[in-house]
Amino acid sequence: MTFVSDRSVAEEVVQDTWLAVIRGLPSFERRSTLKTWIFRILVNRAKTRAMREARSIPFSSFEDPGGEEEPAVDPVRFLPNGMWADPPRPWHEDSPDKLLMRQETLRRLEREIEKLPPNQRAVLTLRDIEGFTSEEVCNILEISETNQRVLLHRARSKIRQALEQYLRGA
Amino acid sequence: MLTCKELTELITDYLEGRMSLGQRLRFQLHLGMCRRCRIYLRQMKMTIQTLGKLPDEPIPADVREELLMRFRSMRPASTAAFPAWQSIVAVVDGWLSGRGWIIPGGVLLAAALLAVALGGESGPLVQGSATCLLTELGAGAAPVAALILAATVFRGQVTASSLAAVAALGALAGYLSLLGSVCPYSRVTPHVLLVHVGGILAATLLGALAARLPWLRPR
Repeated sequence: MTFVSDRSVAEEVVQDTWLAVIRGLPSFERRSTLKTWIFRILVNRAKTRAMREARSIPFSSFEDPGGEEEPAVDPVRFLPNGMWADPPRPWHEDSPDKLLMRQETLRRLEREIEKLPPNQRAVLTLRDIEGFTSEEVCNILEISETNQRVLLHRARSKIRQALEQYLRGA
Repeated sequence: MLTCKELTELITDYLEGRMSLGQRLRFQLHLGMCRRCRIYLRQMKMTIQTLGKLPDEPIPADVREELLMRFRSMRPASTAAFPAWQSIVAVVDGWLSGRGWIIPGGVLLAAALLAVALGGESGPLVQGSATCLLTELGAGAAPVAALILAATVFRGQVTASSLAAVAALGALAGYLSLLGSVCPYSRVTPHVLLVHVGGILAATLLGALAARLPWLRPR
């Protein structure tokens, strides 16, 4: 869903990937983990598909985290000297399990992840949800370590902010 | 002095361990003094941990079904670059690892023994037969032993068909070299058929049997 625009196309890409994995398994050389290898195939197929459809994001923009400033925290929350004006308040829920106990929180999180730009979503999903290392993510998405970190930083900051807003309102 | 605003931008470098010692000290110094940024860091860690605990999205039933169906339909033919060859090998392996070939093999062997017995000690079938047969079997056994040794050392897997194939090739090579030089009966058709062709067949079957050695079974 990060690369292609509609769900049925995404499902097709996933299917193709599994078939390619089965076909390619004898030539898998164990230079990476199987999981990384599978994701590489998936990403490559999705990219090819996206290019063919030419209705998704251009991939130069995938490599490039984007020049424009995306502050981690809304600048109005700081004083001119860079100190907090509107500081974060401790969250009542003090563990991930407690946070996810409410279905609403879960839905909210998923929606926020969907709202991320594709490249940020891809990095966040692979790193924090799927648990790949940064090296593996760079390998899968074919991006530099620095770009990976910038994308991860922006994505994580946005998700934290969304959680904060949601938990404040609740 | 690091500002709170700067800290929120450096937090990923910090968490990723991508800071110089100096940067790290400045970062930690700020954290030590600023409760608000400690809260921010805690929230960020919580966000990351929570993302890691998101439940997996279940595979929709219809997608799963279709995938399984296509997987089943493609598996035998597409495991290698030469699908037809692969399926032949698969069939041969299936056959060799079953018991189907033991009866025809036994019948062949019995027929050979019968022919030897009927031919008698002085018949053309028997003259030089022991030497020729042993040479055939030895020529077949050598590459089999080499393959088994290689498979054991490199922890590879050997299939019945590969062992049978190298045994057949070895015995055939033995026959070709024997025919020209050593064997005095190369023009005696029954001898050639029984001892040499039969020897090649026997070596092939023994090669296939070797795949049943206990330490060659897939673990």
